Amino acid sequence: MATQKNSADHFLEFRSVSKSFGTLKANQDISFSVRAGSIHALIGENGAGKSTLMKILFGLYSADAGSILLDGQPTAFTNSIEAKAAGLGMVHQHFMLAGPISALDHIILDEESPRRGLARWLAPLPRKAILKNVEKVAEKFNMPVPWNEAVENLPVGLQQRLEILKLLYNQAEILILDEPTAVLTPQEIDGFFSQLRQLKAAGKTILIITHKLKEVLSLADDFSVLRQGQLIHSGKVEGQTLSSLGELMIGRKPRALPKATTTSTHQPPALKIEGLSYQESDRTWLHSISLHVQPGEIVGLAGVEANGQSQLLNLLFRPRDMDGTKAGRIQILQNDSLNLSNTEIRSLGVNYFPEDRLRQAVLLNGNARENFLLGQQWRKKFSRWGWLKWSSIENEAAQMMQKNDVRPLDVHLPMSRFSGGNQQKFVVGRELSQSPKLLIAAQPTRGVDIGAIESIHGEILRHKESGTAVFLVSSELEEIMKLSDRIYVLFQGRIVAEMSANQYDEKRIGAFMGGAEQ
Amino acid sequence: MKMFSSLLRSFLGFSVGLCLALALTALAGENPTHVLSVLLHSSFGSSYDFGLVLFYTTSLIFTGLAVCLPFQAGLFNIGAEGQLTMGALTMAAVGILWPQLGLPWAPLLAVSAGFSVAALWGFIPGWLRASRGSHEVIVTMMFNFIAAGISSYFVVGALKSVESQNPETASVGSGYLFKDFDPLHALSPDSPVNISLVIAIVLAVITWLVLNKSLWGYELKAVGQSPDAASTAGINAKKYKILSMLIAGGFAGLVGMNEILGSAGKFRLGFSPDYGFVGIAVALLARNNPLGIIFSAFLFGALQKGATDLDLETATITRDFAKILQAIIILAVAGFYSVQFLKVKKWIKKT
Repeated sequence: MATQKNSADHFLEFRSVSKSFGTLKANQDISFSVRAGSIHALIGENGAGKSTLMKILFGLYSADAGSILLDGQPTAFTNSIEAKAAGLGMVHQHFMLAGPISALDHIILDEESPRRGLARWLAPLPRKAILKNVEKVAEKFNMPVPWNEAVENLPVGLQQRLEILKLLYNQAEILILDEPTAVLTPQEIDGFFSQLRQLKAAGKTILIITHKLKEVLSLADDFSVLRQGQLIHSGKVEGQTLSSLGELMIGRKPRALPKATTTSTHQPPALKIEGLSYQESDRTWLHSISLHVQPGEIVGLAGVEANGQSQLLNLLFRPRDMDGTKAGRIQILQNDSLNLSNTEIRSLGVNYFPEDRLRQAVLLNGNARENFLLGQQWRKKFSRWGWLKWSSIENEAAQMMQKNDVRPLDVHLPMSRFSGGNQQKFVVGRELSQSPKLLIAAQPTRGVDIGAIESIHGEILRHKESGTAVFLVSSELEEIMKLSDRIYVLFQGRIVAEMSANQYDEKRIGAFMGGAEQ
Repeated sequence: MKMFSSLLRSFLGFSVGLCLALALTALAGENPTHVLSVLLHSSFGSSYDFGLVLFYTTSLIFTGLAVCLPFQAGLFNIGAEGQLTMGALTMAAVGILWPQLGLPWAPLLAVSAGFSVAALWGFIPGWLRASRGSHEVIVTMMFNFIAAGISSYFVVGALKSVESQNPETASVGSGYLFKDFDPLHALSPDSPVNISLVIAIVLAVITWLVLNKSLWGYELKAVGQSPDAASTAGINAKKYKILSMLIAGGFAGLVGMNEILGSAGKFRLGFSPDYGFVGIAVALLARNNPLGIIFSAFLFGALQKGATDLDLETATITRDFAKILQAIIILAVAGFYSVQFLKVKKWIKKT
């Protein structure tokens, strides 16, 4: 009896799991247990090591040291199919659904056919039987889905329900949900939570990855906190508060205060946003946002991803491409910019590190010199009568790469052959070499190693000192606090807090990011 | 180096494809060496034969460019056939409507009119793609059918030839035929080859220069590589998609200059042995390099010519064999693309 109890308490157990990538320690000696039939929240900032840990669990990575036990048995999955067979199931933050095919077909797609050989390809699918089984599962958990509807026509909430049903249909015992509420509206979230509680009541174990602290308090039984690859805390949620959770997540690590700024308030702001609202596809992404950035100042926008940052960035940098309903006013260097084109904004003296480097900032098949030109091809010094001056482009590209330590220093090498860190250093160097008056830096260090992070931060600070206004958007709170002179916190499309450097309080910012009231 | 290895791969692909196709003729009971010698003889046997090869080459350079340019902007133009039909029909119509015009204005007028209408035939699918998201493959295919319908309508109607029973228009005014000024035509007076060949080659070189050396070409290629990155860099992706289709249409329309003004003097229904579709193969073989298109158009021109004689000189092989030959060559060339792909994969694994 005692052993049984023990195994229920340690249904899923991580024992000293470690994993390094080069010099980066993604997971260090992580040990915690998940109780059977509980909802367990795994919290931590971006880059804290949560997804590495989940990839190890699913056998996508192998741990350098340590082990994972499922129901007392050590697991050694070599791929996710084995993990699935053992009763694990994961819903990714970005759903893995194919738009035009029906909800039922997604279940069928996922199902391993019992037939072998030719029969597998030729025999008709037992659609009716499968539909019957699926409906039985859906009924059991009270999660109805319109099975014959194309998935792209379903609202996001139902798509998520379908993803979860896929797992339940495959008899998953442990459901792992990665940022499940990132895509949901507040109303959908309520319904979603009550469903999770039902699943728990039905005996399922749920591991939910999140950085929304409010949800941890209202939903989870236990929680574990990862920070910089280490397990900080693991225990019951009972007795915790928003601020205590925020403190655990962000840590109290003493922060070197940024230099007191000599921001001249006499100068007009480089960026001024007044009452900006934005609506697209039935969702209000931004609610009357106001903020300003002075020359020589770094202003950080903190917030959990998908709270309206992408919409704000696009409104700043390519407003004319944004098709939703805009209201309010944006002034960049004293020009009304809400209806300008991207080139017009660039020529005002604005440069941009886009959030999604691979899709928005580089041409992967193009070589370094072509990528250096990207975004400044219109500059007079690079062409005459419409003909490009490749030799001067190559010179400047090589200079920029040398200055920013982009390796290898080869202007003819395709971008795809540079490492992620070097690509990002390339993008940062390219944008800063144009001496911007306003720099919009979105996730400037996402997916790059520590060395590159330091060099990128150094460059941003250097340009700030020389008078550039910097608007920094990042989901890494540590980065924001390290660099910014002022911080705004964005939550569900609203600015919920503003603080200047001497008022920072990691706990409070963390709580605001998680949706705590003022 | 990169150019050399891609040329080498195209050449290897071509050779392997040719060998496979010849082996296929053995299955049909022919002697492959005999087939090859017929092919060669028919293409290069006399100045007339060679002139005809160059005549085909000219049209294929135009259509090859018409496929290459949109491809660089990320679009697949399979509508060159319709575009060239509209261009040629317009040139014939101009020549019939104002027959008294003389050199040099007559051909200039006809060529600009044909270019414009063909460009319009490329512009519409390009515009639909950029602004409405209609897929260019579907739309250009439909436009091929529409162009075929329009040309039939005019050939049997308004532009009908009174002297002949053939499905062709009346002849254009003599001022439109630039034979007398054409040094290339003088070299092989019996064959249809004409100065359009030089224009096609110059156009290919200009296209290459524009794509590789100009701001315009840079922006166009950026759109083709990543529309998202291009528009983040302030490049108007829609504009380039539309423009590339517009110019491609015009290029395809210049086939009319080769056919109508340079040679036939009238629009004959079905004059094109699928120049527009072979142009896709031409561009593919050249890996969308405008300079390479000159050579691949020549190869396909020679195949086209050679295959017509296979019909007469062998017992079992018909001119359709040229299509089989082309298909096998395209497959072989495409196969050699992935040779490089494997090498890259190995390289990634090593590092």
